[in-house]
Amino acid sequence: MLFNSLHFFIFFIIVTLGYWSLGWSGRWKLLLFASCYFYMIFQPVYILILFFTIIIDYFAGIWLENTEGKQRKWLLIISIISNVGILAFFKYYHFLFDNANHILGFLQVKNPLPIFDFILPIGLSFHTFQAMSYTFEVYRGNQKAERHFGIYALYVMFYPQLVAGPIERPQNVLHQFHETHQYDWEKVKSGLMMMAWGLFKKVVIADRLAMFVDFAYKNPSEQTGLTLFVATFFYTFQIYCDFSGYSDIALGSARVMGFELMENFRTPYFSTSISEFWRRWHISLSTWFRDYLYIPLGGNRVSEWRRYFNQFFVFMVSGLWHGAAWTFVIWGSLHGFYLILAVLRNKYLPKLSLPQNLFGKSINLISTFLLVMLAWVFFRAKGTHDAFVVLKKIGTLSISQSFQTPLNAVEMWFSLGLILFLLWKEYKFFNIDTKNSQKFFGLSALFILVIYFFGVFETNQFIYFQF
Amino acid sequence: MIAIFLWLQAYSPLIYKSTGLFPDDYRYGDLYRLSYLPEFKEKAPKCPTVKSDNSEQNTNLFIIGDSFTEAERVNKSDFDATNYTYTHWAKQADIQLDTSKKNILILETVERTFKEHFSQKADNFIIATLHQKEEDSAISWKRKLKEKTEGLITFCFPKGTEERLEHTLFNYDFFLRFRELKAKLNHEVFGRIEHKVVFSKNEKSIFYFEEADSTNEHSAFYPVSQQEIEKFVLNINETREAYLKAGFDEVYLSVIPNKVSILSPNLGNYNHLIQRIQADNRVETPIIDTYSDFIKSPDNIYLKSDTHWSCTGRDIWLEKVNKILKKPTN
Repeated sequence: MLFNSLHFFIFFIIVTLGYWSLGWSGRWKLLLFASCYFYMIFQPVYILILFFTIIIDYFAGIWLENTEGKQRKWLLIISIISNVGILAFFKYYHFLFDNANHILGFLQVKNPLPIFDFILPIGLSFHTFQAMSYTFEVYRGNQKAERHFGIYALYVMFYPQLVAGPIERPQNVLHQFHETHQYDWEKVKSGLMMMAWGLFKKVVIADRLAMFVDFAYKNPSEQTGLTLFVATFFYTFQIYCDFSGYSDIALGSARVMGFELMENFRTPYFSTSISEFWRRWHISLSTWFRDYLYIPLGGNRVSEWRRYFNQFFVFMVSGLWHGAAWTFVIWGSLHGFYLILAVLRNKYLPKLSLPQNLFGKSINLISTFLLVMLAWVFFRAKGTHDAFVVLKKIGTLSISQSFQTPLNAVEMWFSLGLILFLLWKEYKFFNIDTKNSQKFFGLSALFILVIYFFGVFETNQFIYFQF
Repeated sequence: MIAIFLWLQAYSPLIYKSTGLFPDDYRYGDLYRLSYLPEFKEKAPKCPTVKSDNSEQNTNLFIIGDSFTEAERVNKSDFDATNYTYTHWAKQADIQLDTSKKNILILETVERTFKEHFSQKADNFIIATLHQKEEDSAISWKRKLKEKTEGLITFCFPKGTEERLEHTLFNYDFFLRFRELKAKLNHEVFGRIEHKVVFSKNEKSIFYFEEADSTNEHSAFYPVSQQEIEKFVLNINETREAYLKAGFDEVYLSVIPNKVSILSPNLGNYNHLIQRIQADNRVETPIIDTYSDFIKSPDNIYLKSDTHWSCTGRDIWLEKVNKILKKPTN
């Protein structure tokens, strides 16, 4: 079910009203049932995969807690293998098959891998990672194993964050499912406003920018460098509004029911370095990789060059997590490369670092933004060939080039205005005040009108659903 | 309670249809339903019956057709036939042929779906006496189980909920004003219309994108190679042969032109699919040609707010069909 659909609107009303009218035991059952329904709207059969991982991790958690010594490690490994195995099969099998085809075809050998025809279960990477964070935390002793099967299943399946995060930690949410939340009108208003802002970002900004981006990236070789530069600039904001819009709706819809989920974005495009960008962008994923991959690899407590390798490796895996394609691997690796270059510059060429005054910060901010923007080319392009075509054309662009757009001048300026509005709101850390009920209702009415009249309801899917 | 009711009726197509509480979302035409442009809002007229009163009626008519021959546009009372059986291209129907009467089959398709229908042999009508038993035994329990599971999933998670919900909530005339306002705003300020419709050059007609957008493979402006034509001809002939063998006396082909092919053929590089099929002398199936009549007087053939024909267009086609039905047996 899509957050930007009427189906979700009705679903949300029914579930929320039902939730507040029930006691604790009715609430978790309702939420679990609703979450199953929410997921099954996409692909009913794939709920079985989800249940399979839930059962494995539920028992793995209990066994991990009751076991000591070497056996614990083995239990953890079995749990990880089953989770990663499912993810690897559904997400990377076709990728592996295609690459094997290429290599074996080159060697004139027949591909021995069997052909399987299936589609990727929606949000698989998200709920697999969330389930894995539970077993890691139980293994580390930071979280008690959950004995209540229904609550554990809800931890993995809680509908607001089921298909595109935030990837939660058990310490943050599991206890919330055990609590009986008291109805809080202030929280409801704040949650609803958060949802409205998220929806605004998705349908008014992201989906509007998408019309131009899709046009330009459909066949980049037919476009000029100028068109592709503007498209990439637009995509930088499209993906942000799309994903952070989703996160806002997730956080808001959970808050309406009294749950607090972790923050996923913190004005990332105001970062003055790549490492800062990753502390502000998709926070739940970057901290997941930090906690469960980078630190187990040795973190910062290894030799200098090993640390660089670890950083690079983590970013490369992060790229692969996003999608089973070389473009995503390059995108992740590029960020790892940026990060290492920055560290090396600071260490060996400190004179090249800019002063921490307004000028220096501004230059750092703009250069970080441009580096992130160029990396998005790999994220958006249909393949590596297209990505290099885009980069080559952007590298040779000139202002005198023709500019092709499916949007008229009014809508191009309107789109730019929306981006400036978004940046202004983020620069000011402007939070929409919902304490005053009159203001809340007025703003809600305004949001409804603006979203309806200026929303683009043609490209429905959230970008991150594919991961 | 209201939310639950809305969800239930949108969730289940059965409840949606049976409540009868909601206005027909096609009442102002399918193109209006997509675009909400007020200048293309027109109530579809009810066409009068055209059947002649004193016909002999010794013929059974069967049609494999699309939305042009669906019950709300054409029905039994329009044909000079004893019995009339219709099935949609997307479905299959078991039939029995009454050999004491003349059995005529018409393969009716609109131009934009022609390629889809004739990229293989059509087998929508299954003649009961010949195939029933073989078919039954051929279906393995595995296939039956698969079909049952798929049926259950479709029942539990039916498609089109979002669309039904949208029409339930916002299909009243009151809400249509807001939709029109939005469509007008998009058109006049942002210079765009809903992506599923395409304007004619003078913006006096609108067309469904599948038939008018040259990048769409079903479009009238998407190139069709000679090789493809040959494949279509082969499939048309094979379909005819199979149905003649199954007991039909006559099989006809009728390709209804796209609205854009008649009103705005210069909107792109027209592929002339109909003419190329109709002129191909390898086609053994007799053709009910409406293209030549429609092109002669294009103005009143199609409804302004719809992809389908007006009463005038429909009557031209019906007249030709009834002529065939009244034709004495050789």
